[in-house]
Amino acid sequence: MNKWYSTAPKGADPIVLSSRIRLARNLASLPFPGRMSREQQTDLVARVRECVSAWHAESFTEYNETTPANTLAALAESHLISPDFAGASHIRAAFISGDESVSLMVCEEDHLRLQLLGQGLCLTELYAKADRLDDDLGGRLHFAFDEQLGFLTHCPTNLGCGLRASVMLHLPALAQSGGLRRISENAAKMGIALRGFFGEGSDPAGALYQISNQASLGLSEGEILQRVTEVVEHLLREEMRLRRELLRADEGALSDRVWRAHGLLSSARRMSTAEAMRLLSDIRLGISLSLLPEEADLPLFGLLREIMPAVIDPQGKMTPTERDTARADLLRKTFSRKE
Amino acid sequence: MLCENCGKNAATYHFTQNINGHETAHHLCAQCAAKAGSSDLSDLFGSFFFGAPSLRRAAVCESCGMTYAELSRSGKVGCAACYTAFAGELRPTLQRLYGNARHTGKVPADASQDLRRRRRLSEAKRELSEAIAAQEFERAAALRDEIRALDAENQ
Ligand SMILES: [Zn+2]
Ligand SMILES: [Zn+2]
Repeated sequence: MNKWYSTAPKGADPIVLSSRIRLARNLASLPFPGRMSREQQTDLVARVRECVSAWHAESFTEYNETTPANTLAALAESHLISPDFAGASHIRAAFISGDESVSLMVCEEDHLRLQLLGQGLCLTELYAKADRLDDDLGGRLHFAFDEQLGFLTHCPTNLGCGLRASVMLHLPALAQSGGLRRISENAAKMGIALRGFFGEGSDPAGALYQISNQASLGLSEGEILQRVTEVVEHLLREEMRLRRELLRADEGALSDRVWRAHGLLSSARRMSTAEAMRLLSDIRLGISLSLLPEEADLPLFGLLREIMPAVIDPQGKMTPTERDTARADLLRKTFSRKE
Repeated sequence: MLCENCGKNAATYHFTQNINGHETAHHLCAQCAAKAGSSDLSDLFGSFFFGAPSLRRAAVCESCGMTYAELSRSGKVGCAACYTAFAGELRPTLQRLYGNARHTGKVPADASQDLRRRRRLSEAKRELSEAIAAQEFERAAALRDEIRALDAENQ
């Protein structure tokens, strides 16, 4: 089955990679997962399984405490489940749709964590679908809700709508210019956080950033989506302006940089995750400025997923060097074909 | 005397805290006193629970059995009813996170008719003032009718 990230539409946005909606929900009738008995956890998983099996539009695969640890690690690297959930040992389950656009974790920190993923800037569409699934689940399971505090959650920071809306952006020019600090300080005043997607710090791998709302109490869902979108659109304008500036300043140097990235990706024999992410970032930048042919375009988000250690090596049997070799093979095949 | 924070060790540190002229005596064990003196004080939850003027170390949530000591350690609640059981203790934390904000988003599908009506009423009132400001008098009239009907149902 095709995954949501496996094909990039022609003329896809060169900066926005993906959008994500996450809802946290708890049942009124049960203690939160940390204080549930094994029987209660098993029972809740069964009740949710019944709800999911009624969603006929898509088929879902269940992963639970019997799933091999490495499979769970790969799902965590693909951001379909949380690392905490992957590493836990209690009774729990994750239901993931065939195209991996919908995932529902049961007995994570909250009883339910519903996540929807999509390509490009699509928060509104994703929320509309999340809202429908939430109505269905809520009608059957009866969520804990307080008129003043909203949906009640294990951690007080998730109260209110229980909504986290995130957008993943590719910001190589902004990262290079050092202009992100000021923007992220201004965004923080609006309750919007900007952070590196892979690893913290000033230079996150692949120049990939995640923009998301921090709190969801006091604002409606629509207002939250709008605020995140406003910050994203501001970042898009700034990034495009700086890219054109880079091009004006020294087109030859930039062209050399992106073609070198292409050269390495199509010929290297060993490659670490970090190097691959940096080179893929350059490729994406090159295509957006027409320094590389459009045919070289690839669904970067899909490739990023495929080069992760636990995805390259689902059995967990390879040495780091073997993984770097397998990664280089994969990238070489992809890039030499695209000439 | 037991430590008022963890409720386990003997309190060996005694001091008085003055919050807005209101003095409170505190009794802590060595570990908890050390923790309070460390830079952990800036920790979002720890500091708040720690300085909360009404420390009720004996307080327990009857639904899930969580104690105030556990809550102040983790900053996370044990069940939905904890928000009522520890309403006083949680207030400073919620105040800091959200000010005086109230939930204005979605109401669950199975919420009571009453709640849905009250929510629609406050929405309609807000829309009415917007409509008046924008001089959309037809929309304003329709909203006024809706508000009157909702008011009547709420009686
Ligand atoms: Zn103590
Ligand atoms: Zn409780």
